[in-house]
Amino acid sequence: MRKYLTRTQAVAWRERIEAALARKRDTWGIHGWGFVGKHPRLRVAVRVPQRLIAPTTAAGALKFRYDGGRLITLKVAVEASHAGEVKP
Amino acid sequence: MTAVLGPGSPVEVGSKRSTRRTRLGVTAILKIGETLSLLTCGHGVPRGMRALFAPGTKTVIARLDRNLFRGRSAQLIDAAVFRLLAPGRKLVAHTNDFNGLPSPWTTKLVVPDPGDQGEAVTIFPSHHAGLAPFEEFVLSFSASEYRLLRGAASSQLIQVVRCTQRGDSGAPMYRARKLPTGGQELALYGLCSGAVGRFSYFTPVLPIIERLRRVYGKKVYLWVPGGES
Repeated sequence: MRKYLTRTQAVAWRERIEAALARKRDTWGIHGWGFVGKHPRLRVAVRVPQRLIAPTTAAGALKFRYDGGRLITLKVAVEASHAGEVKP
Repeated sequence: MTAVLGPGSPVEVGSKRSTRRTRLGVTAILKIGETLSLLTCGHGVPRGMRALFAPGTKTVIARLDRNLFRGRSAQLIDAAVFRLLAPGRKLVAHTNDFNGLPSPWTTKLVVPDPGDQGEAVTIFPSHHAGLAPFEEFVLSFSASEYRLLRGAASSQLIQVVRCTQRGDSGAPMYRARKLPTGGQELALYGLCSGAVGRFSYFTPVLPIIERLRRVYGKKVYLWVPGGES
């Protein structure tokens, strides 16, 4: 599983990552995402209201296909926005 | 000292019939074909409000020409263009006295790039007149925030730590470029689209200018006083 991206990969894969995250949006409870860190160690960070100690479904591996169907598995980082409360 | 009406200046959007006003920041003054126009955010322009006022006055300085934050979801971009009227054109003034700070008047635009991560940006807040510009750092050159805007406008935003408040929508963000002479000049990077939680988000200006060129079918560029390029 891949963790870091280079600047070229971040630019080339952005749309695929966006589409893959749209499918995970409700399951993971995310309300945004972005590239964080610096080249060549850029990461995809998904944004949640709070980092729960015991989430129902923890954000983890993101899978998408690129470059003729090659499967890419990306470990995402999770960052808290503290935007609103999470109902228990 | 800031310009009377220029990048970072506060303006108010409203209508002649209503006393309700919404404060926004001027992102840039544009030349579209032969017309001087004002660029700000689109989300802060409510339906039915087409007039732009200098804060606290009843003089209409510009009229809404196009709001790119209206229409099909996949086409949305957080930008609105107001055509400057004679009182507005009179207010577009320039001063070279920026107390040693780089001038917010620029013809240069920044292409968002992964290399921007962690780099310093300069923000001219607009929630009050005459506020000092301040520095922040890019957390993400390309972020999506679904709670902030609708459709395509919620993607490919510039993310910084929360540093904006109500009235800063449309306020400009710049990156400094080194000049061969050793000095610095600012290049326009983004406009304030709002904040969610502990982050503020800015819409990159370059895609807005590219869209406006297609929409108007004319030359569109950042205008500076005393220069036509």
